[in-house]
Amino acid sequence: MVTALTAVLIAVASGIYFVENLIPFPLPVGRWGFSNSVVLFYAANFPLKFSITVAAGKTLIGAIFSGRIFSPPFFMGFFGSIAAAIVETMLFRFKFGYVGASIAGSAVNNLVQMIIGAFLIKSRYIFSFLPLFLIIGSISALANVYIAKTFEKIWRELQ
Amino acid sequence: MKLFSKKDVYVILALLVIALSFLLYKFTYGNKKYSNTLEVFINGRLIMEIDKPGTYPIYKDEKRITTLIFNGKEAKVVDSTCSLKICEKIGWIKPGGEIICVPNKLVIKFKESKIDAQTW
Repeated sequence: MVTALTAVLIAVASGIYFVENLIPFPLPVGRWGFSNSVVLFYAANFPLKFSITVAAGKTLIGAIFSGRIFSPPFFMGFFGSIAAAIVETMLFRFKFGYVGASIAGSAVNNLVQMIIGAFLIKSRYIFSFLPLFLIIGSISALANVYIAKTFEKIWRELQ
Repeated sequence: MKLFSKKDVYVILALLVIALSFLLYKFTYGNKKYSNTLEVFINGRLIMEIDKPGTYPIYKDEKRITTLIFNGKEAKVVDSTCSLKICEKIGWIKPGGEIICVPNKLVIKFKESKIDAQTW
């Protein structure tokens, strides 16, 4: 049951990852990151290996469909998502709520993306985007809480 | 899982402290002066310094990756070869701003002015 759900939700997250490119973003750089709601739902309800699988799967499939596979932005998103999955799962284990885990996951995701980006372009100037990313990331983190809670409600009803 | 736990306050406070630290840094140490000279870096290496207005093609491995337009005060890039064109969407940058193109490993920024030290 969990394996089937994981497959379906990786497909859903990949779809969100692809479609959210079309949603206007207030900065010229970045995206909303609503596909991370699926990772948040997994971090709250399943062991770490599942949330890492979803984080890696949605980034891989989303990047294949958007033609960005193995490009520098792909690596930034890939490692950012996995770092967020680890942090969110750990925080849920320490009895943090959805809001705290989502905001922390978003911040870690952005920070890791900047670190990978700085490493790839060999320049620290990419960090100038970080403060704005932390603020906008917190807004989408709250939206992700609502989406993840909806997934959880559906999951409970299915059970 | 709970929607909100008392522990979540620590996360929000930590984020506020980080955001305030960035702002504090920006308004104290980060308040630098810039010249009207542009620096172009590829892969972390300075490849070009531009101080005259004009249109400058930028090459990486002998292939044109973008075109830089400099009007003497502001700069922007057009016709980039990257897929997302984020560097183009940044638009005109003023001193203190940066154009960053991750796929092409390109950074364009205004050169920082040297401190005008006065000695007795």
